[in-house]
Amino acid sequence: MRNNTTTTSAALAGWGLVCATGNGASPLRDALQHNRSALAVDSRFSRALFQTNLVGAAPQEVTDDPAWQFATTALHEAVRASESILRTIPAERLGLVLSTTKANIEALERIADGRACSMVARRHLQADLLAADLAAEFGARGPVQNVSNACVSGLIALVQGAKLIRRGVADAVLVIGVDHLSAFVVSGFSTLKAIDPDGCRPFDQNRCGLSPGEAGAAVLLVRADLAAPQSVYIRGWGSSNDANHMTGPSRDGAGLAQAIRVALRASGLAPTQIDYINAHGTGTQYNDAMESAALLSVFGAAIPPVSGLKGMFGHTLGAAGVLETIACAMSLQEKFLPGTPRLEHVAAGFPASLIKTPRRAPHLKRILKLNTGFGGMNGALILEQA
Amino acid sequence: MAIATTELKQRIIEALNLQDITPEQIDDEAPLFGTGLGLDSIDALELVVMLEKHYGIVIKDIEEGRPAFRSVRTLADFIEARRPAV
Amino acid sequence: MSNIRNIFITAANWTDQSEIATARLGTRFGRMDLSSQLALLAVEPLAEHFKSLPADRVALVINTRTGSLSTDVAYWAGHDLAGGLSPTLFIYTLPSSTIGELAIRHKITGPSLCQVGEGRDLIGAGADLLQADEADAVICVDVEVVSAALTALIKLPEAATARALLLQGNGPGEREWNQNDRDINQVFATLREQNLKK
Repeated sequence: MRNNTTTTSAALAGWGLVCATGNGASPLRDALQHNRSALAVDSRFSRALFQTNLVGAAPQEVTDDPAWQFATTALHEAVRASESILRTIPAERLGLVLSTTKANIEALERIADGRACSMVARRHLQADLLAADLAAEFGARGPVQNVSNACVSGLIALVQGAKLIRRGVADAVLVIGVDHLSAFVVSGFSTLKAIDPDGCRPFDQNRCGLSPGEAGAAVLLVRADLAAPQSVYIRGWGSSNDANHMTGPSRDGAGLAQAIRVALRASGLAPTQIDYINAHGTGTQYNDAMESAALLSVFGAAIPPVSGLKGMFGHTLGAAGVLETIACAMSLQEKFLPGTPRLEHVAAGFPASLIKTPRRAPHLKRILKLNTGFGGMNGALILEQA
Repeated sequence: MAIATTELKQRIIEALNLQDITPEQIDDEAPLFGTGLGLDSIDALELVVMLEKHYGIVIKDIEEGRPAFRSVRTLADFIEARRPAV
Repeated sequence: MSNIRNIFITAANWTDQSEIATARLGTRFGRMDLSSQLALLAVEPLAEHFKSLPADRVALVINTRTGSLSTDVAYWAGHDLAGGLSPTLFIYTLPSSTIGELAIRHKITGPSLCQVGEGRDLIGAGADLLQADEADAVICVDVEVVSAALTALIKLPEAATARALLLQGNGPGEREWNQNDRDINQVFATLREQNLKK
């Protein structure tokens, strides 16, 4: 695989997004550079009914079809950003991979409550129909897939997109991750007592839960030889399962360590060749401890700089892998390492290389991106700038 | 009046969908979690819901409920102490 | 990429709701939602074919016709009752929860993929994992659960079935899989004719 990286791997040709930091890539870049948290009180949620009202909400009016709204906002920007390449791709060679855990769950709430809900919004309860409608809207007549691997979905969707290109069935693939804030999901995490009422603090000694978030995040993947010079490439990946517990990650991090090792091997890289790690970092007790254990197991005493971004925009579930990969691509292009918003005191025993605030990194070349999810799933993706 | 542990056991079996287990098979003093019935963290949260639904007891912090979940006996005592007056 | 030329379906099985009442697969079978129960039942007899393989080389590819929507409806039905929302049900409001249960049941730690829809690419996605040398065996599972309550929301008839097959490369295979056989219904129709249930 690595011998002909230029023709069989995939590059990120452009992206677009909407999340708590705002509409579009540039407010996110700004938030990353200033380590700003965009978590805020949202009147849709009350502390009487939910564990928190502090969430990562996208600044858009709430409709009956937020999944479509966020996905199309992100896709329009990604398409604009990669227009010159996209113009050269025949519609039959353009694929689309949707990543979502709950699709348009808003429709279920509205129907249950007897509130107005359009037929289209109802149709988008089904991830496959949402994917088909997005493909039609954006002229993707090649292969269309959806991925629903819990909170690893976004990362796996990027992998699926890269595979479509590697298999030669598409020259370019729109990868779109989307999940929206809902009473459904926030109540669920509340019943699991998994939320930090005062906002998540990934890797902090006082961390006690996640912050719910929402996003649409889109990337246009293209066959590497079609990409502009200096593009960010997907170098390799690995995934695994803890086979341990439905919600609790393994204590020793063996599953995530396995995924990282597979990704390194598939990329033909040694651990020392990774410059920065963008963690999953939900802010729950067990996730962050598990990730730390996995990093220690793979990298030993030489863990590269690590940070996590969920203190900035919350846990965006099915969008997380795509959104956080976009943040990584920005970091590679602009040569800086993002910090860990809301992290104050690194917990004892966690990597000493955890970084709280952004720093310049002129030689940044390779990033290891991690995500984990319910059902014991782990994913590792290696990004590289040519 | 102390709540009947048999009734409590029946509620636990129903709340957690325990197959092939009858109230008689559950020892009042045996540990509910880990060994014993082999319940886990999800079951603990489900018991929190059961306590609210059937006994009107609201547990905000799971740590608060931890000592009560040691056995059927400790849980019955906890319900007895916390039950709202009817 | 790899030296796999041929892909074989080495075992297949299908099941429906009728087997659930008597099934006892692990101590917490009763806690699972219907999708996970059906998936576990469908895969159970395939285990003898993959249990001796390295755990990290067995992959799972799941297709679920309507995701977790039947469980979503059941979960949300509790939202206006005191203490009504169930944390257990919430866990199963992810289409991929079957992956977690199958991995725990069979102690398999390889890659996994969950897709929602008609499952046209189910076997193709499994074959791709073999050809890319990411796994030595892939358990492909198609689950279709549409509860009575869900039929009010979407245009599909009530259903509760699961089908599973095991894909292996360079087999000793019972039935070679043709790259063009992407229609899962057709594949299972043929398997049924050949009585390949096991």
